Amino acid sequence: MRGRISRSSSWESSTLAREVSTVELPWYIAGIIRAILDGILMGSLFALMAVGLTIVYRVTQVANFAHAEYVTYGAYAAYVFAVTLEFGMIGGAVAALVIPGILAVVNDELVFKPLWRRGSTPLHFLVASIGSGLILRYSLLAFAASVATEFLKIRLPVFPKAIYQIGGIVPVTYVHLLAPAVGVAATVLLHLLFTRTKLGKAMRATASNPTLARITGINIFLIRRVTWFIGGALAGIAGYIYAYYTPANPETGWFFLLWIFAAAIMGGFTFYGTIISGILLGIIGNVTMFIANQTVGLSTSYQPAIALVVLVAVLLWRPEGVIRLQSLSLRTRA
Amino acid sequence: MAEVAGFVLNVLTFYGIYLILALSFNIEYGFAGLPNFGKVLFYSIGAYLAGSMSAWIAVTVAGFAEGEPGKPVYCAGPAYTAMTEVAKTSVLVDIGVFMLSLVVALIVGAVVGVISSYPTLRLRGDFLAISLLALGEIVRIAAYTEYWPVCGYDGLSGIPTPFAWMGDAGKYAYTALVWVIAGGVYFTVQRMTNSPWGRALKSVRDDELAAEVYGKNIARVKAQAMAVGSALAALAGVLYAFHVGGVFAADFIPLPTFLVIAMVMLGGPANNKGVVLGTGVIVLIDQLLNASVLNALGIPLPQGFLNAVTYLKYVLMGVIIILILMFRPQGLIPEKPLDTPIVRRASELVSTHMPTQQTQAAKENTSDRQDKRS
Repeated sequence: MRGRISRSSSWESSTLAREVSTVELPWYIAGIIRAILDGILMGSLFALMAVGLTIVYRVTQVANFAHAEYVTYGAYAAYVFAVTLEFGMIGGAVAALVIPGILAVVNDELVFKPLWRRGSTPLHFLVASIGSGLILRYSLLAFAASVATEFLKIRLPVFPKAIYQIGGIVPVTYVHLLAPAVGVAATVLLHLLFTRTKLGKAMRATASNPTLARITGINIFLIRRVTWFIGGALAGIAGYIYAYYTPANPETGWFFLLWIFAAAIMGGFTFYGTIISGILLGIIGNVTMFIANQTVGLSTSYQPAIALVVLVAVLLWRPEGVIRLQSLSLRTRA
Repeated sequence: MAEVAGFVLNVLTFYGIYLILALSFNIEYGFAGLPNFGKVLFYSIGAYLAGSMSAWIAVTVAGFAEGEPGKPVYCAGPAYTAMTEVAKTSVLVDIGVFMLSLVVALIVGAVVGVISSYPTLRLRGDFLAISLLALGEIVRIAAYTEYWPVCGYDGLSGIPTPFAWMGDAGKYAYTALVWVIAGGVYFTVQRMTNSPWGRALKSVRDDELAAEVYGKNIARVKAQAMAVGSALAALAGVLYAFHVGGVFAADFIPLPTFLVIAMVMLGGPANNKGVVLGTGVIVLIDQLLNASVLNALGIPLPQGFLNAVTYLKYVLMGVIIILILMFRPQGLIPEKPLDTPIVRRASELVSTHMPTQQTQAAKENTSDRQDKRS
């Protein structure tokens, strides 16, 4: 996250681009445009990550503090497949979807499902997810520190190129298009899954009443696995896009944890609400940071504070979520 | 041998400090059911208060005033010498700043605990967990970025510790002092949790609705638990700062929180004796699994393992937390019924009178059956 911020503060150095440009933008307009662009990028990633948290929470009642680690593992899976095993960027993307998905399923099978069967309380799930997060994060760090030191900081081989310069000075890269595109694709696919397929309807049924769903003949264990896989895969692909944009390290996911929870809580743990909240949070975070940095000179390392302020405001004002969108015109079809 | 003695002393001191921290987490998590994952926040607040106040008093006493622009006076390079000079000579300053830090940390810790948990007290536990976890991280970032209160990334060192005037014997005295305070905290917490207040905490944890029906103000009871827990955590932070003799903002990453969670889960939530046991085990693991300690103790290990040992320690903590939750969620020493004079007397009465009655009843039963059979 830091690399991105330092780059956004050095925008004025691109004098060459300014000479080439025909339209001369004032620096603050350019800065705001850049903040909004980066905000959409980060917001799409927040949305992808938080949607996984939301559906897992809805189906299994686990407020998963280890969810952010799937983001890290997505980035590392992509790195291993794209760089070490030379499968290319597409292979990396597939690995970033599949490996964190499987990891999330394994995490559930080994930790949360046994606890759920023993009748553990949500408080126990919470503590267990902290434990899972510790294992995932620090085993990666231990591996990087002892065996493979190049893992301490990874960067995917293909650098995002600027494909267009707004006003001649604000670069738009592939990643700025890739992140929203993946976000939209994931939203559409999930929407179709939840509304048009039996599996998706079974997932919604399990979320609203697991016992009833089981009596109706829904295989709730399969539903659990599918839910965890989707959650992990979405977090993983977000990690892939992030690593494509800026270098990642074993603690990358940890820095996203607050944003993920802020987006999910702001959206009231509803599907569309979480996606919209994630994108909004990304834009609010980047624009507020830019303005505060330029006017008051606030250090950019305070960016998580914006997420916390938003989170606390939501909890004080409407703890059930600001943007609650359970469904888009689903009632007529029900 | 010197290394072993130093190691044992260090373990004992950290045992005392972490015992206070774990007891405070036990009040919140074990008794009141509040997952305060921001434990390190209150721990760090105590350390920042102790560090900045003692450093400021020391430079004032030393008459040192040539600070660097934009930094507190005590952050200037030569301030270190001035402070250590004061610490070595003035007993009054050493003891005074220690006592003052303890009192201020208790008050500030309690106030911050209530304010920071206010938005989430009426809500689900995971909201409290994430907001306090995040607040802890942000306060650490702020302390690391700004020169106020503990000199940012430079860190603050050379603060006057309470027994600095004693020289080398001061370490032993300090460990003893930590244990006196930890013992006091243990007995206070034991009394508090066995009081009606402790029962109110348990009732809120077990069934909020029922507790509310019996006239308990849920949010107020939770806020009181947060106040006591945070004040004690700040106290532990003060003891930590004076043990290390300095404060470094980078130390307050959320790892102490995870250690404390492992301690309470392992020992037994809502059982203070269990927490004493769990803390001992985890502190020993925490202090032993350290590259420098392993080297000093002369245990031959491959370099790769030594590089990874700090991280493996936290993997182990995660494994402990999960295994305990799965196979022994009540902890090594499970929660016990109340321990108050009246309950104790009542159970004595029961044990002295009831068994005879029971055996008599049992005899009558058997004789009845025999009668019927015959």
